[in-house]
Amino acid sequence: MTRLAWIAITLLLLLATVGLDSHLDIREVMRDREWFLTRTGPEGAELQGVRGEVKAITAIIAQDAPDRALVHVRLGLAGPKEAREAWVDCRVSLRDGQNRVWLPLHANAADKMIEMLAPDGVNNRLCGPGLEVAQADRTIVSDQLFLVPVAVTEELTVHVSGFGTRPEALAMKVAPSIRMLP
Amino acid sequence: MSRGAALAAVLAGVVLLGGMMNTKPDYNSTFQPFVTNTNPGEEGMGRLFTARITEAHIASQIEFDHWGEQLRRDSAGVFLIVRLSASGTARSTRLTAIWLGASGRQYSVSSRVELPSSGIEYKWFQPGLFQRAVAVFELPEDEIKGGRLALMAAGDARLDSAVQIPLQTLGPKQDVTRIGP
Amino acid sequence: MSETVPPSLTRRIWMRIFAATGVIAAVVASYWIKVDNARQPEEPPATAFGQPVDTGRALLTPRALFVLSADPGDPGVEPGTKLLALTARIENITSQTQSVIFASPPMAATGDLELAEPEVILDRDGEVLQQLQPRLPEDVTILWTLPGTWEAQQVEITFFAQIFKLRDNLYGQSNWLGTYPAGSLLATPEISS
Repeated sequence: MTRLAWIAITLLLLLATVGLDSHLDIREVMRDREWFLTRTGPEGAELQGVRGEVKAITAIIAQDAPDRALVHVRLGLAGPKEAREAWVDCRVSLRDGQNRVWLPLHANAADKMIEMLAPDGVNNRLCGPGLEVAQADRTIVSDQLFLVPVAVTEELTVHVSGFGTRPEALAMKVAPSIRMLP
Repeated sequence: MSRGAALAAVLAGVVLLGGMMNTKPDYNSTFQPFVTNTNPGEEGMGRLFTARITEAHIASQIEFDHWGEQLRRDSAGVFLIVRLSASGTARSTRLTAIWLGASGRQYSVSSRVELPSSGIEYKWFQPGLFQRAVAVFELPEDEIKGGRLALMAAGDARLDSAVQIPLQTLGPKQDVTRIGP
Repeated sequence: MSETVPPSLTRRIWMRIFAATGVIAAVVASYWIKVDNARQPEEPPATAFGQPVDTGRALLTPRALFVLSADPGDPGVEPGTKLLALTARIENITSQTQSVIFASPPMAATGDLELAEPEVILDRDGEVLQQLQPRLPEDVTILWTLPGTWEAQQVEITFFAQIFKLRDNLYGQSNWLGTYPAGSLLATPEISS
């Protein structure tokens, strides 16, 4: 009987060690993954004190490359300073029905294209830095450009999360307006 | 248990432990990427990308545009130019290309040939879209025959997938290859 | 509480002898390490032009040392700046492309003055050397900026080698670790116009 108790105690301590040891790793994974989604339409919702919305989304298709579309997403984030600071950063991605992930284009060419494609000709830059410094009473607008196959433009969801909100994220189902370029 | 049996048990334990210690795979082989060998000319599938070699040839010199300036590079060996077509699968991905030479040496993409608009190390590969890219290696000519192209998702390749593709055909050797944008 | 029987006299003597031997051994060993360190000279071995120095990742063969005037066309260069130039051949002796050419760059000292970190130029391109491919030796020029007050005199250049461990002490993975002086070159630079 005492022998069994010892074995039980050993197993318990082993489990506790594994739990403590993996605790930090699990937290690190959670800060990177978007597991708990608040699903809305483009009008968005509030996530940990910051309201996110898709202000405009356009898919641009060029005649000479009809299989792919450039998707311009203009995002608005608004909330009190503390809540924005608690987001730390801002990650925007596009997903389709199969949960494939498209990340924003980073090239210099993308910046110029946003200026050309945005309705007002202004590029507000990627969501991320500036989230915590901007004025409290102003909606922070950001512009990002994605390259996706034309076939998925009808099933796109805009995902937005911050380091501080993950594993929670906003998932906004969108229907981009299509623009054909000659 | 007799003293002899106890001694035998301890000795057996020592031998077993010694055997385990000496045959245990080391860190480098434990954490190396999972390699997928692809037949020449076929499409290689990694965890996050799929890629195919479309053309390869050797050149003595390379000419390219560098911020509006024409640069020409020569080499003590040769340049191996590998053109490929790749796409992301699960997410937008960047790739790293390495030439595994015939002697077993590993050649990274040459940083002497900067190709911001077509170089493989600058490109993002989007899911569902094939994009062309070029990888330029600088190496001795005898490393090419019998060598393979290795492709990995950029960043930490440990325990991730690596695709190895041998060349199907090697185009005729050129004196100067011009790589446009 | 059971009563403890005190150990016999011989047993106590033996125990003290063992303890004392340990302490004496430790003192002698640490003293010998100090003596041995003092016996070994700190200076790296002398090397000469044309003699290769193993820097761990590469073999570096110094060829010539001279002083030249900086190109006045270079941006950020003050007119009249003098450069100390060491031409050398360098070959990657590892099995991989190396982008870290020197873990610790060669150090040049003249008189009491240590010169700032040099630039390594690939002669073929006239640009900063970024990579070394295995089996492709290259000619390079290592350039130090000399102070305006510098006068022609002997220069000492120290080369460093980086330690490679096939199995490091932490994970047993292969790793490049610290550096140590591997060669020292004493020469008076030629003055070229």
